[in-house]
Amino acid sequence: MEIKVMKKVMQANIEKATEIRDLLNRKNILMVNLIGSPGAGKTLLIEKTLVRLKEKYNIATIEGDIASNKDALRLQKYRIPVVLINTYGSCHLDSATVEKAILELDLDSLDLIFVENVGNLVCPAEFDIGEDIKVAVASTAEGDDKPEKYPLLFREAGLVLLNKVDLIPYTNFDIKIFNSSVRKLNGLLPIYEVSCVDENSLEGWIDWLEESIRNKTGIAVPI
Amino acid sequence: MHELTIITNIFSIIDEIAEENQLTKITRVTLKIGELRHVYPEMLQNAFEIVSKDTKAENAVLHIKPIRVKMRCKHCGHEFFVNNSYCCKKCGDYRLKIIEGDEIIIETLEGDR
Repeated sequence: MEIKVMKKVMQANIEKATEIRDLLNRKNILMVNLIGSPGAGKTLLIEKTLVRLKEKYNIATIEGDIASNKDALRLQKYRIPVVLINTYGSCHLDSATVEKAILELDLDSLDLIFVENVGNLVCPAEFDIGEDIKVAVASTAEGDDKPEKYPLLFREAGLVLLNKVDLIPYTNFDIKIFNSSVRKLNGLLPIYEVSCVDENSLEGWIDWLEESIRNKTGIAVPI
Repeated sequence: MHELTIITNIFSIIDEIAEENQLTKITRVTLKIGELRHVYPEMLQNAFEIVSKDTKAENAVLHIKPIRVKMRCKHCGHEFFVNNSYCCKKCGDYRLKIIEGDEIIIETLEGDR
């Protein structure tokens, strides 16, 4: 006999992600899911952002790593809550895992949660974890062909951080090719060119993040 | 690697449906997979074979229907299949809504009671 099923295979993950989103909406917390290759500079970008914003807002991070607590230790120095998820081989975070991490945090005293996903351009883009926005972190040393090779991430992302722009003179990275292939996939996607060795380059990203935090939390504009 | 996650999810749905319909054997599973999902069919087949061992679905055929990415323009309403550009082929607008091509759906199950 043939049975019509028509069921979404990832339904369980989507449902859990929706629960997380509802919870964070009730608590007025912005959650940003950073996705990028290993070595794209996700942890350092979070560190640089923490230096700028941790006195103004209450920030926590959830660190997804296949193994080790190296990144979590780097972030603990900033005296913010850090929850480490070791995935033991799994190449992405899913909503059930993220929910457990979120429930370890004091949600009544937070404005922003950074989730640093497992370094990978493919699988993390597949899994909704209840975030407000996915940020694609690409770095110039990886090459300008990444959007074309990993289209789903650039379709799902709400913002692109193009990191390590200071290295462009030493690579064959063509920023025009990168930008136009992002445009082909997602014409309205903002791209911020950043470098962690140039504090000024982070302004656009920091402004965007502050505005998003304010929109989500209702915190008045700090003077 | 997410192929294994997909297969594990598929099996929890298969078990549920098989129980509801009192199936003792599953002979065929048909999946619709959107091209946007980056699923590699051969890997999915391998994962299915491994996970189905010693279950009701052992030796079942996994049939995968690839679904092309189809968008509707929010500006002019034009519907089109995406080749490599997510831009309306009629009016050039970027504001698009996905109609199909991002799904992973179990369409049908075949089996015996």
